[in-house]
Amino acid sequence: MKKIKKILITNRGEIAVRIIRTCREMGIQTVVGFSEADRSSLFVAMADEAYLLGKAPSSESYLNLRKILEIAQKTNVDAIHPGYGFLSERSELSEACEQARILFVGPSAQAIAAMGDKIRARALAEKAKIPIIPGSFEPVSDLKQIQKLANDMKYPVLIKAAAGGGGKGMRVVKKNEELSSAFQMASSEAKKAFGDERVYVEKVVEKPRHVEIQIARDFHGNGLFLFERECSTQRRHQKIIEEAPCADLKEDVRQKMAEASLRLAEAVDYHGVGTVEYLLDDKQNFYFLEMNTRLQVEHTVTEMITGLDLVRLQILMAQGEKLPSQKMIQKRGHAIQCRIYAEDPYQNFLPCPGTLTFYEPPEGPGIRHDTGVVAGSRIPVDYDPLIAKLVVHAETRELAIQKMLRALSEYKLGGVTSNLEFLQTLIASKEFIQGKIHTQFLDAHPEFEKQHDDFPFEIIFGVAAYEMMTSLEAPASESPQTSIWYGNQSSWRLQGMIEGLK
Amino acid sequence: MKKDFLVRQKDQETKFFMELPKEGKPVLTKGKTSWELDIKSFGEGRYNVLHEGRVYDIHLERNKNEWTAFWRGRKVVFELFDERILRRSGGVPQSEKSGTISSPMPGKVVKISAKEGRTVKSGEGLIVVEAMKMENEFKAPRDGVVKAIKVSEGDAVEGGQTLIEIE
Repeated sequence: MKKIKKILITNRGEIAVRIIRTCREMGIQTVVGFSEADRSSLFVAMADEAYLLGKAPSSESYLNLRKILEIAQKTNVDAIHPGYGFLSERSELSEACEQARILFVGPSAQAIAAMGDKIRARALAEKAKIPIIPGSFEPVSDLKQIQKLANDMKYPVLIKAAAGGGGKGMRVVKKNEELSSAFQMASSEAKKAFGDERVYVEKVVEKPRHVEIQIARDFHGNGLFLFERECSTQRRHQKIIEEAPCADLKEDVRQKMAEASLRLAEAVDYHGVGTVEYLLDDKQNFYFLEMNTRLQVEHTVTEMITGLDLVRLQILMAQGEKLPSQKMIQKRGHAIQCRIYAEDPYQNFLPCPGTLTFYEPPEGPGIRHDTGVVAGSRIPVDYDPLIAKLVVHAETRELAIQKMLRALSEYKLGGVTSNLEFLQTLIASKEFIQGKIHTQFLDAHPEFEKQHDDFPFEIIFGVAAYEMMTSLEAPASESPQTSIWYGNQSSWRLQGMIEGLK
Repeated sequence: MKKDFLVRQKDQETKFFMELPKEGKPVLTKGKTSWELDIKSFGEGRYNVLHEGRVYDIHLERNKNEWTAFWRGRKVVFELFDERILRRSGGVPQSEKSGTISSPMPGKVVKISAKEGRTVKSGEGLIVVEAMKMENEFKAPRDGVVKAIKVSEGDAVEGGQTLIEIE
């Protein structure tokens, strides 16, 4: 057991802030590396020590393993916390830590590599008797083979390129008659895109739900089930809204998924927190998708319903301590998270980086807000345009929805375009309120990507006109007190407005 | 004090006038309807308005004649011209929207449909940039003529880099 006194956080933005906060509560010194684009960021301001990694591009900064290790050695840290994304799922960092005798807050390089390889992960899951999506284990290039596989699995099936993804070389086949031509098209597309015409065949789960299980496992072989999260509200495979627990999950299914996930963790001798992702069909049959060997963006909702600090658990486990027992873990109420992005949903979700001219997140009971920005911060072009994660917690899902709608309408930000209004539309939609969501439900609602026109226009135009008219004369003092400071303030403001009009 | 105004939103133009009486509240009049507005300014574009008892919390940002208003987490954009501007331009000014199209983030130019010298209409798709695994089509911000195309298909572009200029 080694007590961690100093940690290097190899990440940025809101998750770096999140980790720094827990470290501070635990009396652990924090070191961060930052890119040139992040010199003025909140996470740098909050750390105890900060060192320049390199230029803005991730490859020169947050993925720059050599530089990161240099900083780790120089600052004599006891541990490295990778956050999510960046190097967290590359086994090289875990490996390098092992070599350098630095604790890695995460699993071993072997576990990361095993779960990182999708084919291997699937094979391991099957071996651990975890249901997987029926499909071919090896790529096929023979029509007869595919025909047999498809007939065994039953339609609809998905033909996917073996050598790559991104939708290229993919075809959904609904019936046997379509198989031959779909196979031809997928193969030739795959050959053109990846130079390899081989394909896989997989069963299609229609209107699937994405449900993931949060687990933790310490160095003593103790595993913990920390409930599930529903992440079915997605767009183009990007999660937008996450919640815990599921709106609708049978208790026996929950138990089976929990056991399966812990079995998989044991099979790869997993250490740390991890998430096992599944697809659920309309009968709540679950199928293994993949395992994420790190803390996730949506860990927040799990924390809200359990009262646990997962970052703290990560650090304790890295130190070699024992997890609490399963019976100490309770869930309470319902939590929902919305990811607030600097993007324009009404222009095809175009990212809109820029400067946050004003920023007032909502507050009040049951509100949690994780962010890496403040008013005046820049949302840089070089990284994911996440502004913040807004999380609510209430006694029931219905109350959580009401609270989220309230919080979203209270949210004030300017200077960048955000998806706030789009999120309001989603949460208020019939499907979401009824809990009847699946990963394709947004595809059926192109109207969500059209902005509603019901603004109080006369009020807005009136205020703008008022501002134009009053900026041309000295504004009446708003304060009953008159002092030279207030007087100066108004004339500075007036001067500023006049300058702005030029 | 009383002033005439014209608002342009997308292609729609609306006229109204605004009065700030010496005694009493500001009033906006559009056609035959008037709105009496109890406006409280908190500085830096922040306003609280009462109209017939209903409360409106509004934040305004301004860039010359282009305004952005935020209300309940929602955003709307419009152009506002007062009589002084209308007189000076001899009518409704042409959109001051910048004719520059730049990529907000790093990416790769996938397709260019614009041609130098060609007339384009506001909203017309001109160039497609692939970034963050998605294709983004950029449209003409206003009517005009394509003055310069600064990139070629296949080029890698940086965040903020100018792609096309429209006159």
